[in-house]
Amino acid sequence: MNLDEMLSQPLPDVPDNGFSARVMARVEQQERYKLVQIILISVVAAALASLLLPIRAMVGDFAAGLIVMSNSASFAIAAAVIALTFLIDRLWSERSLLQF
Amino acid sequence: MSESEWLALEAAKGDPAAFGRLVRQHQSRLRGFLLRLTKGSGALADDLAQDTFIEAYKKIGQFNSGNFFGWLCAIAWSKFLMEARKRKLDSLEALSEAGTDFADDAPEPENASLIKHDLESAMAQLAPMQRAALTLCFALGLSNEEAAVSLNIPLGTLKSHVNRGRARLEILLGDWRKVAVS
Repeated sequence: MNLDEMLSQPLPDVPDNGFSARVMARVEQQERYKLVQIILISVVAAALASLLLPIRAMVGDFAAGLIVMSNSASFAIAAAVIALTFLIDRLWSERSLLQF
Repeated sequence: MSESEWLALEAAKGDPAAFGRLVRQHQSRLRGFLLRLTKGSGALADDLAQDTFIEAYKKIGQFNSGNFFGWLCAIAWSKFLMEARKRKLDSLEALSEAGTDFADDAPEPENASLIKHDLESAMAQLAPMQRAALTLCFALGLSNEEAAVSLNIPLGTLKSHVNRGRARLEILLGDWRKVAVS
């Protein structure tokens, strides 16, 4: 066997022995940590906003806007189209994943 | 588009199951690569492989297309270099004493089954860059261009590392065969 043939031999197979599960456990831990960070930042931001911003006036404006939108047919159609597109996209990607 | 590329793009959209499949698909070859870099230190290779996958998960959005395994190797190589710097290289060179030892003296050549061990022992004598370049280009089947990207060096530099590594291996293996014959 010459050197190039020796070098081209595939590396010995390394059995998984729970390695992938350990990596995925760390990934999940990472995700949880990220979620906790997002929640904490949101809570702090909301607390600051409630202290510093004129929330009552803003909520009043927002509610008035919602009432106007709820009477609009074109807004309802646009919202339905967005929701349907999202749903179809999710279903399509899940179906493609299952095909592997 | 390869299955790995497709799974990487799905993982980038926030699908951890797709990433899990990528880990299962590539763990053996990546750990094999790191085992060779760390001269058979299984514990260190596994730690580096775990860190590599976690880093890949964080940066998966940066993967556009191309060879996903090559992209993983680039992360693994930078992790290995950081570890080597942390251990000041000397102790990394001595790693083989703690792990599965490939770097001991000339093997017993009468036994044909030790050819593989011969190669690993000789590999352990090479510089890490030469070891990585030879492993990526030969055992892992990356193209020269892909290997150069993974090791973050110009193509010409990669070729020179491959050539120098091969020449050194020829000498080492030749010396051991001479010892065996005498």
